[in-house]
Amino acid sequence: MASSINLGDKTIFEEVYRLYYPPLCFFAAKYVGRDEGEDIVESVFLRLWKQKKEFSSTSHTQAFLYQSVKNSCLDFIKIQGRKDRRYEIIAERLTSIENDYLHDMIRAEVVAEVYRAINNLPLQCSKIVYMGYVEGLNNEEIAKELSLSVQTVKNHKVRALKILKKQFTGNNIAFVIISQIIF
Amino acid sequence: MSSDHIDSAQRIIYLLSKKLKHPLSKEEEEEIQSWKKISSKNEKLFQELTTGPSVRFLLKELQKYNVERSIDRLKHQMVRHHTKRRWSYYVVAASIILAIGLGALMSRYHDSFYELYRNDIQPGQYVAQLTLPDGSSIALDSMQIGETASRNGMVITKSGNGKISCNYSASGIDQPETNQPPNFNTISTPLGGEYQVILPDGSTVWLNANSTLKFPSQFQKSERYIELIGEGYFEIKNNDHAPFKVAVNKQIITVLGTKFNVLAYHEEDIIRTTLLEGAIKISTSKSNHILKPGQEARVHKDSEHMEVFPGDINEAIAWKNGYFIFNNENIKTIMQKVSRWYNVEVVYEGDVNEIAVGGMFSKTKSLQKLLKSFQSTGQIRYKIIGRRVIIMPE
Repeated sequence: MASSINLGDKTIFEEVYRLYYPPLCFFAAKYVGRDEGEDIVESVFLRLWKQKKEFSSTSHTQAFLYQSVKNSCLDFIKIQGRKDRRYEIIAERLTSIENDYLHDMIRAEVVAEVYRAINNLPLQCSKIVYMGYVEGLNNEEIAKELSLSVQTVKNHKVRALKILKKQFTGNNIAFVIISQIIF
Repeated sequence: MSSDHIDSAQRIIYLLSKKLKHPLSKEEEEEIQSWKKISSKNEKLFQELTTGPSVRFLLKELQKYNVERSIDRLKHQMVRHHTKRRWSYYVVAASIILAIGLGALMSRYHDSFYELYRNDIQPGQYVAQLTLPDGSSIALDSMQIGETASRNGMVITKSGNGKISCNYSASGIDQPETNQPPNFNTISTPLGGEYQVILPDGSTVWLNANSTLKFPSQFQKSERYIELIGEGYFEIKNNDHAPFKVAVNKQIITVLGTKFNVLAYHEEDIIRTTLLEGAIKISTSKSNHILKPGQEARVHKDSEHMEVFPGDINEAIAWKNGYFIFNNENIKTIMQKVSRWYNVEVVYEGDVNEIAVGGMFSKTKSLQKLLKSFQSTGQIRYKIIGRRVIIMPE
């Protein structure tokens, strides 16, 4: 019976990964660009999985992940810097990252809260919302892609909104954004 | 970066994400506003995270990253890592069967990380309700700092975060001092709440969670009388002509001018009064005792039997100063206090009667962080499911 969060456990690992991969990549991209950022996040998680890293709480998990990714980004910049020999600029960049990283973490995690709510919808609902919002497909195109009727697609959207309404109070920003996203 | 900085950042994450979804309480709103004012960096971030279009934009940025593809990549690397080792087929088969068995067992006890993540329980806040003699009530946490409410001869001013002061309005003072029983005001804190009240005579009372303070709309000229249920810390202004009296259950504490803490929750059998400064007299129907600074009196509710001990002042008023202090205290009485402040239910699995914990713990951290500190004494393990905490011996 585990009361801590064990990343050696496959199910837990996947859940934590799905929750944190996008905001951590977004966080890292600011420092090292998108491609390197994704690589860094993947390596950090792979390393933690190999170590079967255990966290004592969700806040511990969150703090550790952001600090690890930040540190890997700093290491990457140092190594790049040695190759290019642009030491002053590198030193400046490293300092500004140390100064900004908590704010960048706040930004990533606050928006991630809305992102996670959408992604925690039942599978079909979240797929449909994603296709509509991110891929820009209309209801007909989604229906075709998933072999569903247009009405079913609409029903899933209504259901998504209903579920999210329970988590968000009507007039607040998140709900307004989400209703715009879905419809 | 020191852990304090990341703790504050995590608190801001909690408040700002909450703000996106629900209205914040006045105290929480004030906390965010103070944070916002600290620097223009904070101000800019605040604007960014509370405006629709910018949040929408950021959400789109997050959506760019494809988790599925990344998980596939990762799975390939994880398989490669595993096959580097050479296991005999029998060992592999046996461990798979064991894993499936364990998996079935584990899945019954494993909380989804997402649920854990969404439900990391936050500590108590400044919340209290004032009920006036006419029955109307005011939620003190919804008042703005500086705001006043004037009713029934009382003027209530919110003087700060979690603090109110009560004064008599001009019309109130003219009330004749007669045999008429005074009208009472009641201030109550819920589970997970605490508040500070300055009474009309200038005395201050700090109320802990799940506590009630009753005081009259007019202190009598010959005595100042109040009633307490729960826990309160008092700093009483000296007045030789009108001793201050605190009624707790059937016990009465008579005070001239002094500082003391009273612990008297309904669920507990013993009322504990600890004196810091000055002098107080504790009276029950059976006996009286004058307490000296540093002493603690314990009165059994049923028998009214009183005992006086050398007390631990730091432990008694730790709650008012933002801490829990336990002197090798039994885990059950510790969790009583924790459950009041975090408003959670506590159940025990296994025998915890011999388990005691000592130390000083901040009470402004999340519940998980506190329980983790207890767990690090190597004596207990815990689980949090929703608002229920399960404590087990190690």
